[in-house]
Amino acid sequence: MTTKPICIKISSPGALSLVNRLQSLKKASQEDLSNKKETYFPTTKEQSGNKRK
Amino acid sequence: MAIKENDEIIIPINSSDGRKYLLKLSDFKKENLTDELLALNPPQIVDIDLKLVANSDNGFKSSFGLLTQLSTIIFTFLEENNCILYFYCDDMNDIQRKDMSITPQAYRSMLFSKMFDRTTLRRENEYINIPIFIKALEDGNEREIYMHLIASHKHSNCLDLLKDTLNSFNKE
Repeated sequence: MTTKPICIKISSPGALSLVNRLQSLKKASQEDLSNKKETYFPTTKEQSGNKRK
Repeated sequence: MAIKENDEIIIPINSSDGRKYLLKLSDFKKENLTDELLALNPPQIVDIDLKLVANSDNGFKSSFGLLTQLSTIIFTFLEENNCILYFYCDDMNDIQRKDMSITPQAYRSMLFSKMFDRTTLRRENEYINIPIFIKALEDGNEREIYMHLIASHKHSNCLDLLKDTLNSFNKE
């Protein structure tokens, strides 16, 4: 069951600090996944050479 | 599959259109929780993250196949673990969508709820999805933040406290 969304407006330093921290955690997590790309999807070396006859 | 404290699980996903994604389920550190919530001895909170990492020339694109894979993994994890899932909708990377008037994070939130509702339809409302929409005004700039909390009904007391905490910010 999806509930009615919680909608809030914030502007106080305390609340902004909290959401900024959550956003920073998200950003760090996305960068972490970018760095792990090669671990899970290693790039295969493209074959070189001209294949045209 | 379970996640130890301060640990994570990463699952590679290949979509039918050739895009490659990494799904991360990680322990949300308890130091980020409020004292009131810790007093309830809450279950583990698990942060869900998804990133498009290859064949990304045309950007993130949702598809029925991708959403099915995601929901299978997420709900299998929920069934096997006593936890609350937390999802912060990505507001840094674009996503293909017909209506460009809505933000990428709003679109992701809508997709997430659709995926949840479709999956839970067959699970007799055993789980709760709480969408959270925050408008943050800072230095004259307004930004939209979308998050979701998902858990079994048995954790509704913790979810209610989280909702109350968030709603208390609304007055500031």
